[in-house]
Amino acid sequence: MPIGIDTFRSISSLDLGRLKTDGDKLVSGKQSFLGRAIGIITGARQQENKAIYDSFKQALTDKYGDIGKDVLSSIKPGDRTRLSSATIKQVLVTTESLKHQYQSLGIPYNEKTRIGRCLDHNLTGPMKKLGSGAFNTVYLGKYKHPGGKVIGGVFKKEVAGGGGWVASMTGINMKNPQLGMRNIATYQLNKMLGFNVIPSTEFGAHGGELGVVMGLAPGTSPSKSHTFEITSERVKNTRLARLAEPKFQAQLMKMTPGELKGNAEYFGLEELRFDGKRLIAKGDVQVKLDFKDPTLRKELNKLQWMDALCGQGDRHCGNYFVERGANGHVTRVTGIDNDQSFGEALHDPNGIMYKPDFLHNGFRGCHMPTIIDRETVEAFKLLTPEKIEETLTGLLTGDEISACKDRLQAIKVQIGTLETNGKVINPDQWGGELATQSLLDKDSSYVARDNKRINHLLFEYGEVVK
Amino acid sequence: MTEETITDPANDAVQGKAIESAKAVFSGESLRFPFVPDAMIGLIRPLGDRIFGTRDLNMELYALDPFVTELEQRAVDDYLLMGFDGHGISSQALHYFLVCGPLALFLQLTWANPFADEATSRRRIEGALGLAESLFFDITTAVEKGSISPGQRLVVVESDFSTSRWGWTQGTAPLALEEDPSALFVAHMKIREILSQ
Repeated sequence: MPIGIDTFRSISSLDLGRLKTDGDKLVSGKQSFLGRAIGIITGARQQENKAIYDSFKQALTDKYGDIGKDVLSSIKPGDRTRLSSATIKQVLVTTESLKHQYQSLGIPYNEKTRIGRCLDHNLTGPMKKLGSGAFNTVYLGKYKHPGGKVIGGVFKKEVAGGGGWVASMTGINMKNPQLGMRNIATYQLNKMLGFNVIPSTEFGAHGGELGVVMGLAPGTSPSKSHTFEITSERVKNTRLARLAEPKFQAQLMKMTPGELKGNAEYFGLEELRFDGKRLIAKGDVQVKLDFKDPTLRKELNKLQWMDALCGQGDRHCGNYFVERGANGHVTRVTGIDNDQSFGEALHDPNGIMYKPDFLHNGFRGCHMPTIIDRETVEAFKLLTPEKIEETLTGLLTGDEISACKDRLQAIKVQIGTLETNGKVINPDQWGGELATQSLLDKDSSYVARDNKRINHLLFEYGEVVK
Repeated sequence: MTEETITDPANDAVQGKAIESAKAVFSGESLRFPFVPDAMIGLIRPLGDRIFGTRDLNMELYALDPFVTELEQRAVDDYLLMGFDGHGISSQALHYFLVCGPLALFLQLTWANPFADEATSRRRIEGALGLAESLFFDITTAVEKGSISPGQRLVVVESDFSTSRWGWTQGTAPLALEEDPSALFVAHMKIREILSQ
């Protein structure tokens, strides 16, 4: 009977002296995988040289293919000649588990889906669990890539299923939606376009579980609890605006302390109270986004074109990050949760637009933009169907790639129309009047749509109450 | 989900097990359990992973809008749906849909977003669920007092991912809802105003 991974697990917990003895016996008998592995491990401890590491790598590759090779390759070069029994065990267990997960999730193992850079061996410290929910477990870690560069990454386990309304309406296989592949495909196209609006995305593993790692080091928004008076000027164009209206303040004044507390919580505030006729609030405040910021406009516009190409039907103001520099100006926009994309039935990029009818009321996207800058135009001119084929093969089906090519063609037509109509601007003109006027329609502009939504969640505070 | 709930969810509902399971899910999130009208308590059954309700579920809660526009497509029986749904990392939310008599309320509030401030998210959910309960009782009182016409229904949609809005409707008439990021608050204040007249 072949000796399996379970047998190795139990044996590998023993000391290496025992391993050597057992290994020698096994090696002298049947030349099983286990026997070979133990022989190689024992040799590695004795000789501590790269040749033994390579032998072990070959043995792993023989049994597990490229997954085994990649898992082992993730070990830091300096550690490769000092393979401990614990490391060997971890490599074997991880490899066996990952191979099974790739197979059960129907993910092919190829150059675009391979792991190797984001494994537990590469972590520079323990993973940090983010969030508090019992579900949606996400980890933040720092990975030291084989080249030596340290990258922050957010890991989320890949699971079967998960296709939603958008997936079902755009032709994504609901039995096997392969959401991780769609995230990676989005990143690869972003890279091909040179857009930098999608974080690096690749498969990785944590605790032996396969998942997607987004190269992201999310900063925490500086927030501090402040006490301030609700005035119409202070909460203008924010979600708190209604609290400044006299008719609502009059009603709030009649409420019991408990009711007032409930209303404060609803607005995300710690407290609402009256000081005479003044309505006082206490809560965290953040500086609101300035949608006139040229970089915010430019990057959101690029993200919108990116979503049109990918057929990303669920872009809402909660699944992109806006990074700001020390001066408060926007430096980057990054779209995440890119898995509701690349449906094979979505040939028209405008098909992701929300409309109230039953065929479109679950989409959260927009019509293609009505303005574009020259950099983005050039990027799309250089993007050919052949490049799309090359970028997406191995990640998506032929029909999904074909639909993406159709969307590219529609985007090129739209760009041609914008060129004809004088709606192509220079990259430094996003703060200008033409851009402003072209970004007012919420059906065709994330800027217009989210200016209203986001700034109702954030607000700028002025003088605080002493 | 247990094998029993898969094979016979209705049985669970009758035995009251489902609502206990639902409470356990919310307790696991350290969130208050949403208000359930008395008439619906025995009808709650498991509908999916962390999702409970009183009607068949043929589309995801996360989509939200199909549930709203359904009101103008056909006469919808009273129902309650609640639970956690979403995808990806940041697109996760608590959902609470209550269609009951004169009220149709749809809440979709971000939860388990690792990049959001947990305390603020929890406060917002607790506050919104509290207002939802208060709104239900206030509008019921308004109906009993005859302050609201028979057949008239208040529709409130509050979402962190879609447009929040509110307004009145009658039967399956087309919805004409006013966009308002504080839709639940404004609707509640409106009912309070009606009651005070």
